Amino acid sequence: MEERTFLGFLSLNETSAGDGYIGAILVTDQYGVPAEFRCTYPVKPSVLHKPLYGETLKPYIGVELCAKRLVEVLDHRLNLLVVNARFLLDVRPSCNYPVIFIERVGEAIEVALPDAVTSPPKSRVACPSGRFQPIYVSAHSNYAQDLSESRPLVENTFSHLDLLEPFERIATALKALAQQDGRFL
Amino acid sequence: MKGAVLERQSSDFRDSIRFKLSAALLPVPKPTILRLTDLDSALGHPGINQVQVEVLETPELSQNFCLLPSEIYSYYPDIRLTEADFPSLFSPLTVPRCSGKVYDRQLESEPVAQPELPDLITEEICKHGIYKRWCSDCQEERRQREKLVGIKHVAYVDPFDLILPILEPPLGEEFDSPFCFAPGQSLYSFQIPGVRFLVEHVNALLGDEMGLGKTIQAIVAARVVFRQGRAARGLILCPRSVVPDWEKALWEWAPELRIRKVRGPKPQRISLWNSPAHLYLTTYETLREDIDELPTKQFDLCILDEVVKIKTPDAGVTKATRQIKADIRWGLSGYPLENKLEELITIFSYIKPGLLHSYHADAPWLVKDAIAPFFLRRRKLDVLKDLPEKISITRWLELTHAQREAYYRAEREGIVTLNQMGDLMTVQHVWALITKLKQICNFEPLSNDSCKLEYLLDVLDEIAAQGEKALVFSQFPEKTLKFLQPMLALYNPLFYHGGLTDHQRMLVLDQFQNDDDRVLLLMSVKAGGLGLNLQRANHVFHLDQWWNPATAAQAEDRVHRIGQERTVFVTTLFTTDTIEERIHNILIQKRHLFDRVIDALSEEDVRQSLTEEEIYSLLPGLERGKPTFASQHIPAKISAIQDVEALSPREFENLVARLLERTGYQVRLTAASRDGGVDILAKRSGALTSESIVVQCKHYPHGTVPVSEVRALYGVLRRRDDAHHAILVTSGEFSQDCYDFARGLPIDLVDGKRLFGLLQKYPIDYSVGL
Repeated sequence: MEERTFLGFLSLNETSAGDGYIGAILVTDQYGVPAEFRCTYPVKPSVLHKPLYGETLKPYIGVELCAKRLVEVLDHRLNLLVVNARFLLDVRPSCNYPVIFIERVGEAIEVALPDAVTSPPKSRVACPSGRFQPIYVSAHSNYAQDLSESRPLVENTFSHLDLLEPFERIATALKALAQQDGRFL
Repeated sequence: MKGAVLERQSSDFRDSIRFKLSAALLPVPKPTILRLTDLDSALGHPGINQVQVEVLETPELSQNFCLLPSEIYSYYPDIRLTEADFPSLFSPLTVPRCSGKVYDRQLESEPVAQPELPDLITEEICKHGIYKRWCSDCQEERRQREKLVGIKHVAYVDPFDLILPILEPPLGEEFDSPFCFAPGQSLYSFQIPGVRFLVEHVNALLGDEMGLGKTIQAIVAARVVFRQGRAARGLILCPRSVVPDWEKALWEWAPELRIRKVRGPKPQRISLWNSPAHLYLTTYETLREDIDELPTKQFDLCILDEVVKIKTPDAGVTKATRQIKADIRWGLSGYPLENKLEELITIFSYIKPGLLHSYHADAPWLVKDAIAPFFLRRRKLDVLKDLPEKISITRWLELTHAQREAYYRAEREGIVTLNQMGDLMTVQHVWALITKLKQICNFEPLSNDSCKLEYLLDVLDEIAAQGEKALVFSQFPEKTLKFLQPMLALYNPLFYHGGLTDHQRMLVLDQFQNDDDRVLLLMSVKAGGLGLNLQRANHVFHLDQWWNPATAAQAEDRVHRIGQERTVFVTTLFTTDTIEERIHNILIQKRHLFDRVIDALSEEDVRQSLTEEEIYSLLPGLERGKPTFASQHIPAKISAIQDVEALSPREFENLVARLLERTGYQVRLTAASRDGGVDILAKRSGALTSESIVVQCKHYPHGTVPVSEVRALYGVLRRRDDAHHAILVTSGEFSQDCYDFARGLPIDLVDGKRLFGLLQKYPIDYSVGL
């Protein structure tokens, strides 16, 4: 039986009240059909945590508390994990499959990094079918090979599935979930 | 300074190391939190002579590590805290619990932990000193709590199943994704704009002709809005007969949606209403019964199939439906304007509140513009050019001798009885007699005679021989179909009527569709006229005509719809020289009106459908007393031409009569029907002379009276010896031909403007009623 390919889409989302964060991962097949969905209960930093952690708060919650736990509990074995925030690439050491960060060309903000800092590996991928706008794909600086390893799968999938679209589904689903179950508020 | 604590979160965050000088260790005036970049300056502080750095692997925050409440107040004056906030403030950030679900079928077989239900009974010792699960007091408490939250009878649905539609990939602009539909399913090209129309309109009326797949279009549109996250909870209301159809279509076209069919005994229905689902499917009547028991009347989406069910403002189903609040409201009906614009106004008062008002009832041209953005109607002729032909046949039959005798006897005795009732006679009494006569035309039970049965037996042989099937409709399941069933036994007839349960209905339909021996399906028009798919048959027989032509057309569309491959033959059976013939003549006119109003929304006065007067006129020999004319529609004062236009034709006649009275005439209104071309007889006596006039009223708001009406009135005047003059009054206007014809003749023409001027000159007090 042919082995199926599964992609994970990982994101960190604000709660609807804006007072916390929920990590979520959607596993789909190559056509975007959902195979598994996992999310954390909200992590709500206190007013004290926010100044204490400063800018590290979101990455800390996103990677250390949510992402690492989510990839650990998945039932499906992923072929590729796609994230929509650069800081989530830091989950890569916990994964034994490529992890890439994608952003739409034209929406990506180029940040000049200090000389001492190595630019993360990044490449531009055009949609083979022309249906979607091109994307930039980046990988963790310590796992530059992820770019080349994931490229065939990315291109193949990107021809019929907009790789940024599943993140919209995740955000909408979490809002709906909060309506169904107060624990996700 | 004796020491400070340095927090190191992890190697990845070393750039953001912070440390805090504990208040207990501080020789400095105030405790402070310093960023690493400020460390040099902090160490340069004259009060700090020692720094003790403790490196922590995880950011464990503890009471010792944190500021005291008073310090927080002083450092964060903008933060307003209560005492209750402090425990959570000092709690460390920990790895949260995870939840979720595997949707992939291959992995579903593996045991998946179900989310926990509230644990109401534990092994704890209760306050009564025994295990809670053994304690009757605690058990009672549990029952009360279960009752309160409705747990006991409520089906559990995983919230992650409810969000599945949102997690599914988009259906695509053209619904061309390979995962849109199950294999073999696809939308017809004309259905795609229909789905898009619904998706793009939160208030919409899809008025496609029967057979174009409104149900499918609505279901696919519902899938889209669920996937978009615009709806999480919806309600579908439909006639009882089509509940199984909807259920089946939802199953096939929206497999990811959780459907809750709300049927059965009331306690079961209440439980179902309280159970989570994407869509609740029920009938209008069930909603009417349950409306006060609903846990909430707020839905995101409400689909009203055969929305004409709520056309009557005072009906219970309409009142119940109006209590349902929904962000998205879609109505479906092939015949949204069955008889009157008033009904359309009622329908839109729910679908798009505030769009139409009562004054629109007399202004079809305004209605057309107003509803245009929210109304989509396609006809089969336009979109289904390859649908097989539908051939309509009318068969006129002679009553058998026994039927004729029974018919004459019933008619004669009935009219005598009605005439004896005098002023107590109502249209309901007339209606009862008409119904009885129609039943005799179908079947005479004493002799078992039926010319229609004889005809059916003649043609069914041929139909069966060709391997085809037929539907036989009647509005009298008990008084006609029940009698015919045993006499048609040769063709294994099935009987579909309102007395069947949902399950029985489904069985009957399945048998008819799949069992070749079942050639005939006898159906009550009311029970089987809506929504069913019966493409296996291609012959339709109407044993009798429903008053409303739309109802008959709906019944025919059960077979003339998508999927039908053979020519459809619709045969309507009439008996000559009976009430059926008279009804037929009226319905022909009505059908004409329907075609114009529904499909073109012309400016015809759609109120001129089947009126009370028309019903009375069906029985010759009926003597009807002079009617009274108190009317709630008449305004207390005619202050605008629109007030005149709002009147019914009979009210208009009465208004003219009152005006003549006001000008000194004695007036007498003729009977409402068979008036001999005269509506009002008026006379005025002077000292030396006496003047008698005949008046004909033509209530044509915004219409033009043709010259034929003037000619007709002139003919009446010439035949009458008791009148010297005639007046033709209209609320509209006269054609130039009218004026040309009337010139030099003793005929006065009073058009709407002149009438309104007279009403201003001779004001009439309507507060006492007309």
